[in-house]
Amino acid sequence: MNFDLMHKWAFILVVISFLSGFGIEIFGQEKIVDSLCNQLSKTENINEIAILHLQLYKKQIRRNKDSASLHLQKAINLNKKQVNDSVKAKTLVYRIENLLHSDKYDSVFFYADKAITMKESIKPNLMIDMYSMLGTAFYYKSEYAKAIETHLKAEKLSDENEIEEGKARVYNNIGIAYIKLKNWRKAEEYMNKSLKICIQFNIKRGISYTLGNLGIIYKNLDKPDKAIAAYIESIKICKELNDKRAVARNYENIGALYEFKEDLNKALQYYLSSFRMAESMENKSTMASALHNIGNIYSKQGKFLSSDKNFQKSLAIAMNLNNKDVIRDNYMGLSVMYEAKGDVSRALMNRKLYENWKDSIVNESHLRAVSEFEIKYETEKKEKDILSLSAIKLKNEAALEKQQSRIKNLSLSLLGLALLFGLAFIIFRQRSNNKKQQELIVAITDTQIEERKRIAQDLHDGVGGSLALAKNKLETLLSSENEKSKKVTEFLDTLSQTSDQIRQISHNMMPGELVKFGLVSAVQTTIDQFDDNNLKTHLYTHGLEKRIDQAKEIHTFRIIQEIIQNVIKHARANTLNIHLNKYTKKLSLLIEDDGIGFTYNTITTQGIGIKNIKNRVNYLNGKLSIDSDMGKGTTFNIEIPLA
Amino acid sequence: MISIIIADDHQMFREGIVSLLTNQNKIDVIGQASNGEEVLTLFQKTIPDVLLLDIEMPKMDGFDTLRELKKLKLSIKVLVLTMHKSSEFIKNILKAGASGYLQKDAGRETLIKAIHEVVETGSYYTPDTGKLILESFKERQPNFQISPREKEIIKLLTDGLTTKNIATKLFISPHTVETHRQNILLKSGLKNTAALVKYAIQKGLL
Repeated sequence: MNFDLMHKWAFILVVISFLSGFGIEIFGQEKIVDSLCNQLSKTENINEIAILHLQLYKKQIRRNKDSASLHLQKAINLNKKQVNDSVKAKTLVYRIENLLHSDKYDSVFFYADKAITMKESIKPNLMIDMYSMLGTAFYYKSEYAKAIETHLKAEKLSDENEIEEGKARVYNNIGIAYIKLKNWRKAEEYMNKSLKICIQFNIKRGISYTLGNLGIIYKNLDKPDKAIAAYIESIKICKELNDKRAVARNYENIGALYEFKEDLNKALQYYLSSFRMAESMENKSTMASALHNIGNIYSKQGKFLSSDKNFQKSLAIAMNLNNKDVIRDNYMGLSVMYEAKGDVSRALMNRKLYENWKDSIVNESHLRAVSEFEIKYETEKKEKDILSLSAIKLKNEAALEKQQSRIKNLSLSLLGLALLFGLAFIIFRQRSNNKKQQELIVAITDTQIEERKRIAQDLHDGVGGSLALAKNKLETLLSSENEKSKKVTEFLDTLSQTSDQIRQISHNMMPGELVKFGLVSAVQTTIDQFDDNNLKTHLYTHGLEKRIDQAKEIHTFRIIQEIIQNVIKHARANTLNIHLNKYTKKLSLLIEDDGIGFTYNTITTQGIGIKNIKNRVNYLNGKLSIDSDMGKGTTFNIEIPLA
Repeated sequence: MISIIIADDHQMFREGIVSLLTNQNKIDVIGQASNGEEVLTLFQKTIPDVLLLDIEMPKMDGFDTLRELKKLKLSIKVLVLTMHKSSEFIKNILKAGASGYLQKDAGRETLIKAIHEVVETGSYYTPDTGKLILESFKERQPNFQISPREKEIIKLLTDGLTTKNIATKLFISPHTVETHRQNILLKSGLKNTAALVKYAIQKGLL
């Protein structure tokens, strides 16, 4: 696995904070809430009460969500009575905001439609908010094109009403949508626009967020230096705002970029800074991630002892937090480190631990994405059930049919239609004779397969084993009697050659891999064996984790063997790709080479090979087609039914 | 003293191993078995430090024996001694729970070294087998593998070409193009070409 892939990028897109402005710091919140409640107890006017509830909602949305929702609900209830249009509009837009915060996107769409139909009575700044929220809802639903379209409406409205400040948020949101679409140029354009406005109006938090997002964009535009500069700027502002968490994250991002640039010393420096910052505020998860990154760098620098120490520290923290991703990545880091160090068995041990954690994470994330997977799985299970049921049904039907025909024959004979009975009887016997014949053929084939298996195994293990032993014994002679050593060495060579030949014969007769592990292993071994630099061969396979019918395995293997031999002998190809895929009811085999190809006339002269392939495909009731043109390679496309 | 039981269905081979191991003052062959069942019977009387286990045996082969031993949770070290040397076999042997793997013609010195190492460290890998297992882990990528040809076809599909156009362009039959398309959908778990095109763009497969 690629080392870089393992790296945990700490890049985080900032969206939600833009919804209610840039997290404006409001002092004396308590006082304001108190005075609003006070006013609420004094007034009798429905419109005023509704407005006060809405204000209370707005003041509390970031601090006490439940209480905020309660006030909003009260305002919504008052809307059912007589309130003026401006209150109605405000309630509607706040309701949309609340729904967005609770991740109820479909409801957002519903009420947004309502808002759009009554947009004449909604004030422009509210309408801009509404479009921003609608756009964000589209964003979370991964409908990025629609998100951008909606945000652009907010932009247009801001333009028409000269609300320059609000456009910072709009541009940032558009930029983020473009990030998701991987349209980095557009993303950069909008993020820069947002940054400009933030600077103009001195919106500090906005500047830091925008710079962070620009960092992501520059990294993807392959401009690591610009990305680093953006993060450094962002750090300055975060420090002003005393946002240590963001500073630590930015350090980590810069470290990652230097690591990407392979400037390991600089990367180390920033990871260490990130660690120190995280340590100072006791942010354990950032500490774990920083220590992991430090371990990686030391590993790359060949400082295995330091690397080990840091991985272990990170591991201890991650274990405490039960942060499975980090635990897993540390085991991977340790495995890669030990592999680089040449300590294979430790590398292996850690790799195994990594696999264990990975599997448990995969299981959990499966649970998370449960709906989609479950449907797939259930369908598959159903299909299996149906298959086995239909097999049983077929058997039963056959039995029933037999019975029925007997009863019929009997009753017919009872009716005295002796002639008809006789005829039916003859037909019945003929049929069962045919069946017996068929069974006999299958039995013969099976016997042949078994015989081959036995001979192959005897050769491989029996004769092969004896030869191996002879070799071992000769080797002990080698050291004791010097003058005879040369002869003994010659002997040993002959034995080795014989041993290899026997192995090859046995493999050709019936590969042990095919018997023990099935088709994929056998094909892979065959490919591994003719390790030839002139012909690059690759097997792409899917769905064959479970074994299929033995006879089909063997015939399919022979077909593949035959085709590979044909390619080696005649095709003069550089690459050979084997696609072997199992569908629910068929096996698809597609073998392509880039050799000289042949025309239809030469197929006949290619002779026995192709004939053998055809015979085997026919035996399996399969379909075979061959595409080939002079100089354009050859494709064997074979389909074998499995049910 | 390291006690050993040898399991192999060829008596001559067993005797040979015994003769290779005699004169080794730290190794003591305490029993012989010709298949897995006999191994388990022997274990009822005495459990050795190391079991030298062949793979191909009648009745109960090496894999079945390893499986049984795993169930019994014995703290015995199993060194598999086999003629097989393909990476597929080695991977499966170690996956089945063997402590080490050795070829039958590995030589006396190697065999003795392996026995000692298995007892002392719990496992025996040559650097080659260690690498093989690491590789076998790497092979089990969760993502599906796409061949260069399949990639080519995905690209042409996203460009909006029809099956026929693709066939002409790649000098293959429309039927083969169709097979490739089906294979890609099967492997990716996607329902149709439209979904595939979207997926390919999003994942940057092109």
